[in-house]
Amino acid sequence: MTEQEKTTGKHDLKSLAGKYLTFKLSHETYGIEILKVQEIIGLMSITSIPRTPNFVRGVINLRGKVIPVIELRKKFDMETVEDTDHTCIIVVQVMGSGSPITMGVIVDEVSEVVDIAENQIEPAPSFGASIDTAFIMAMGKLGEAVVILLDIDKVLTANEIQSLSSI
Amino acid sequence: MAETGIQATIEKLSELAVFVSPGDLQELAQMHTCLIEIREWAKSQGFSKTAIVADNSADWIERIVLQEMENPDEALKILSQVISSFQQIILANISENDIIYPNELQQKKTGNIVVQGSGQIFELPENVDPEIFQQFIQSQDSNLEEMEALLLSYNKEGENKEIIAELKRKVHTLKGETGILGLSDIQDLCHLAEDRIEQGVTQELIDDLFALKDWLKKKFDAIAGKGPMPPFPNELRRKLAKETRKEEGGKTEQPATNVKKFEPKVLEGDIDLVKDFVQEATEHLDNCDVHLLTLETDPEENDALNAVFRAFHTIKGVSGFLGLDEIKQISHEAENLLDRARKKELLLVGDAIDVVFEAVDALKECVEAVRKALTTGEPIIPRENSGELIENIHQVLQGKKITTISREKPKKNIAKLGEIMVGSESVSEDSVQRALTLQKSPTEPVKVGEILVKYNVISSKQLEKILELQKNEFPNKLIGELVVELGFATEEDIQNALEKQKQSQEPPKLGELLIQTGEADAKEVVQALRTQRAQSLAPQATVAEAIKVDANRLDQLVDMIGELVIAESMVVREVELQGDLYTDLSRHVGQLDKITRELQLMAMSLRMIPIKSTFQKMARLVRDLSKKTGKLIEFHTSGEDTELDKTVVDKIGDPLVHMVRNSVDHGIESNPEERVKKGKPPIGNIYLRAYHSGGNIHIQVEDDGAGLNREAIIKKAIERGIIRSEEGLSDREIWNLIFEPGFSTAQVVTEVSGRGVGMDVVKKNIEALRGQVDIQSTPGKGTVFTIRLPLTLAIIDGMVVRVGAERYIIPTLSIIISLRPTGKEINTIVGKGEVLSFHGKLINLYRLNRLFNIPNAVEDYTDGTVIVVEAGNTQIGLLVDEILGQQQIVIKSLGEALKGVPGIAGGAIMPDGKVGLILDIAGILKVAEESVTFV
Repeated sequence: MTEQEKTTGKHDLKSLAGKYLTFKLSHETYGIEILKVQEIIGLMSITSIPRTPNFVRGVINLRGKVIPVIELRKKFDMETVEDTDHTCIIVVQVMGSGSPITMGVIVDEVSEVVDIAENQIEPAPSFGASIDTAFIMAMGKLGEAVVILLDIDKVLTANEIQSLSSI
Repeated sequence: MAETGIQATIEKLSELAVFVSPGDLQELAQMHTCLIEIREWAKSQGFSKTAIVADNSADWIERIVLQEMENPDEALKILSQVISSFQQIILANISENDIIYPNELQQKKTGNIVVQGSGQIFELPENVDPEIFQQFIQSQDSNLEEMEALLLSYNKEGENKEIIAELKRKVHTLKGETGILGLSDIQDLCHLAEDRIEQGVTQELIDDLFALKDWLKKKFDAIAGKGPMPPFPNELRRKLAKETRKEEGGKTEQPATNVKKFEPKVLEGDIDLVKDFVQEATEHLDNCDVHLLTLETDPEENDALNAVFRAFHTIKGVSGFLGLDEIKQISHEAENLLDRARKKELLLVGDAIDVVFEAVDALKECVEAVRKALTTGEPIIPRENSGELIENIHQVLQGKKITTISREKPKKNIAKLGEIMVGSESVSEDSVQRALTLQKSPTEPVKVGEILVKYNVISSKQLEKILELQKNEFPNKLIGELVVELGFATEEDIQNALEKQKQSQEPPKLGELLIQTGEADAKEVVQALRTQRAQSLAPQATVAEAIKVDANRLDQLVDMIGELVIAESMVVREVELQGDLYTDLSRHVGQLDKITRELQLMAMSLRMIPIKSTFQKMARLVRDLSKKTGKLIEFHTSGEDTELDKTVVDKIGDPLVHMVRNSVDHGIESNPEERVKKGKPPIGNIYLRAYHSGGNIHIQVEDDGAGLNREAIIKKAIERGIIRSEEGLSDREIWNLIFEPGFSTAQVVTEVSGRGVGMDVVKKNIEALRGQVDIQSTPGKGTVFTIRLPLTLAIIDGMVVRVGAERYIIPTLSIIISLRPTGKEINTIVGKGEVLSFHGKLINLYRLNRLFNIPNAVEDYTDGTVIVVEAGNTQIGLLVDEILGQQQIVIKSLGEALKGVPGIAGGAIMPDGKVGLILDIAGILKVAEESVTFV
């Protein structure tokens, strides 16, 4: 991805081919570039942080490092459900201002790692102003199923969290 | 063997060179290897030119492989010429000086040091090893700092020979080094400065030297790429040059001595060689000690003698080669002596062995001096009495007794022989006591006659005869005379016997007595003697060696140890929960606990550095400011060695600058008469102190000036609408008004201060370091600023409190008191704001659960605990459910994403592995103020 593509938010669909970690939120399947994923951990006790946006569940102790954990359902304004045995945290590296930031993302269930080829990728649909799709890189088609390929850098920008937290 | 290896290499290389073309990667790779081998060989042979050419050739090959070479065919042609030159050197033993290498291959690589300045480019001079150059530049920071310290101390104490001498050495060294490194502009200035220092130091010169130091700092920074290249200080040069050559004749006479004196010497030549020498020489000298001990008990032990001789010989050779005169001379003389001993012309006993021991000690000192010079880059300082030592060796060689023994053996606590023997359990304490009494009791001189008999000069029968003769006929004659007269012995024999008699009157040695009385056998005594000797030779104090470590790695280590501490406390908790307090496990865990605590302390100390450098900057600042403002000020510092976290030391500089400036500009009266009127000395005093107190570090800036102007501050504060009236404000609160942004009572904005930015910055910076500032001021007497800082930034003491299901940590530093209110002392204001009367004052009361929206927490004050905390100068009460305990906490950042959360300073891993949040009281105050609205 070149700098220009990043800023315009348009992705070269060809360059998006590759391995994705897929997970479920409700009945939808999402994918994160495998290179962004550091590890997957089970749900652990999370310390909530007061006066932060509701999608920030809190912080966890990841082997001595304190990292924030984001609830993706709340981030996407989907209805929230109770945590289940399948609920887990995907630890991702996102690009912050300058340095990468490690964050946890709570998802309903992690599915698998899939290979998505060039011809299986279609541009992200546009719904006008009603639904913000800036954080969707593209759509992947795996047979019947559709995988929403997330631009995790956009989903969890540090600026966003900060600006929201100071409200 | 090495020769044949290199011959094979060059043969292979020349073969390859003939057939190679730019596309043959494999051949090129082989050539590269060969060239590297040749380079190493050339280095080992001291063919520096060849080594450089070989190195560059290897680079060319690399570039050909990488297809970076513009004309690879041409390059290969040149290389094949070079290779045939190599062949000549290696196979035909032609000197490298007779070979003409192509110019383009003779350049030393300089790419890594060329630095871009502002339009000016600094280029490494030719023939300078970039590594040495870099090391030199790196060492200059501290060198210049030392120089400044010297200049400052001169100012204070006036005439001080040592300081001037040291200053001169510094400038001289700098001159020498920059000369070698081709920094001719610096060399020129240093040369002038040195001349000036020699002619006598004046205040004016000191000022010039300050200017010189400042320029040098800029210059070196520019070379290191940290700033623009400063222009050559023509003005300064003119000033420095002006005085030079004023008095040529006034040279001081050297004291006339016939003893050779060694001059301080600047290290030159290949530093690596010198390093190797230091290493080697140290080993040799250590071995010498061992062998000399053997020699002392057995002066004719050939192996030991040869070993010592070889050691001295090697040291002599290498030191001569390196131009280390002092070492060469001493080892040369000692070698002569040992050579005589080897040839059995001299027995290594008494003075002879003593001077060898002395020589070893002297050489050790010399080598140490070289080592020091290597690290500091200063000239090698010769020993005081090397000349005398050499003289002594000469005298021993000439068979004279040493008369001028003036060695000052360092006073060491050498254990007494008796103690050693008792210690090693060879004899009992009683036997030593007995022997000692025996030693003390005067022994009867052995009679001459007995001695003569003992040494078989005369027989006992002859002796009896002589004695009889003496008694009956010649009562006035001495036995000796009779013996000679009777022709039993020569006069010489008698002289010898008399000598022996004298010796026997000296008290016998303890060891001998012990052997004589059968308390110990000879072997044990010798062993003890050796121990004694070894003790006297043992180095007195080990010099603390320092290793430079990458700060990142250090931080990582500290982090890891932090983790270890957390993990450990989890284990401890687990064990405690099991409740078996007396099992092996709990004992082991206790041990582990101790070790981790110590490890943690050590890790913390790794980051600690003395605050000295910051204090020194302040000294300079005061000096400059007092010049600028024309105020006479004496600056006193104490506690410069107080250690602080490196981050703190780095960051405390800024606030200190503002505070010291304030003290100079606003504190000290500008008119000395005004001071005298108030009964103070005309010269103003500013004190800068650092000390430990109650687990914190305190830094104080005190001046004996006018003190803060209460009225002016109040007036200004009312003017600016910060306060409505002075009513109800304590002194402290009023003083703290000066920390308000933009607050200044100065009538005139001076060059130094008065814009009201300073104190605001002070407070912010210090709070960022989790510290606090206090002001005490007495009108007419002066002002004291006290900064309280935590020892380290990474660990705090915290009180763990519970609110609902959440736990929070309140830094103990900000807690004033915790109390359980009965309800009577709490009042509400318009039904919303709550206040607590505490020590006769009303303070605002906030509920943490409401501020943080925590469910299921205590709502009734009487059920919970109120913790009174302080932020800045405001006290508030916080309602929490309960206090869980106190604990040392390793602070963790919440990361980039969450650093702005109001009221939360950071996170900490709790003993159960979960994250606890550390409250930021100042932030909470803000949150609280926003949340309560009186409408």
